[in-house]
Amino acid sequence: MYSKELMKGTLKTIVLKLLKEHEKMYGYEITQKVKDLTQDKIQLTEGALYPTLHKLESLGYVYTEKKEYNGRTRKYYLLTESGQAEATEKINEFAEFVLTMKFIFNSKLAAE
Amino acid sequence: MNQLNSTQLETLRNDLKARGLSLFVLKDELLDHICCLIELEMEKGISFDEGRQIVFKNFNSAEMLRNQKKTKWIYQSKKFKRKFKSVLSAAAVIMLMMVGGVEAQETPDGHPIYGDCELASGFGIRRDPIYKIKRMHSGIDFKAKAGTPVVATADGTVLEAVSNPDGYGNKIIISHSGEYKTLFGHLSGFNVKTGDKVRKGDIIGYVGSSGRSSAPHLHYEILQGDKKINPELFISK
Ligand SMILES: [Zn+2]
Repeated sequence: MYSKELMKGTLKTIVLKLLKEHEKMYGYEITQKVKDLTQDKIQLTEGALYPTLHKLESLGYVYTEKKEYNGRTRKYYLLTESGQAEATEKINEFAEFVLTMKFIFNSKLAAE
Repeated sequence: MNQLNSTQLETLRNDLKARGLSLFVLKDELLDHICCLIELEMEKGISFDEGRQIVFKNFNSAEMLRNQKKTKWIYQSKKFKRKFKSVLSAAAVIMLMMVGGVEAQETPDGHPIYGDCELASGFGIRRDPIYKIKRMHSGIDFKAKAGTPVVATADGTVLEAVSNPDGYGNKIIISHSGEYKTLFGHLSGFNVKTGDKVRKGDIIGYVGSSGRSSAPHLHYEILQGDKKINPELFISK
């Protein structure tokens, strides 16, 4: 598990990236997908995930679809057009960030 | 596939309601989420009731409740404009830590009780309720029903979760990065063990009357180094 500081800025990017790759997903599905992809290294709590989804919705980046499933309501999240653009931007920003971090760590090693 | 029936769904709806988690925007998806978690447990061959217990034990109601309030606020405020902290600000924090070796300080500013309680006794010299003499009271007491959840007031690591027949009774001490420690006394039970990492708002134990106590209450202390300080000055709500 990673620190709260580190996760805070990346949760939105993770969610946008997953929604970009899958047409629609519901909350539980997102937590399981992240768990599988990261081999349990990132476990999203419900308390962190849902507020992020709701914020993205309030910003117009995602919209929702409700479906009945076994007597309960399942809420799916889908990217809007501006959400697609935001996802691309966040993914690029993050990829660049990772590169920059590598740069810092490598230079540190070289100096020692 | 184990799929929950309508009676089981109703049970879970009531569970969420009992935890104060029935806000309209969240309740449907939260119910679905809980159902999925329980179904996953049931795949392992255990009963609905066992699955339900496991899932709610791991479920952070306090965190969810705080976020439910946030959610409500998002949905109510159309002018919601506050920008997300970007990856770059997280990067700034990490770099500061690496370059300066600065560790983030966790200030215990949360409320230690999740549920109804009443501040029964403050910090400082008071007449001891058991020994009937004037003594220093090195923390504050909250009167609450036995079993009321006690939560971490900041992120930290459990330094001790031990039973001590006198004095503090079942006691937890959490160490927070920086100079603070928090102490919780007279608990009826533990939800953490020594060495566990906790997040602010995680349930760590339950109010009780173990040790030198005459009625269920939580004795709560904040230590700055070795000095005990008045917790009332820290609790931010
Ligand atoms: Zn006390």
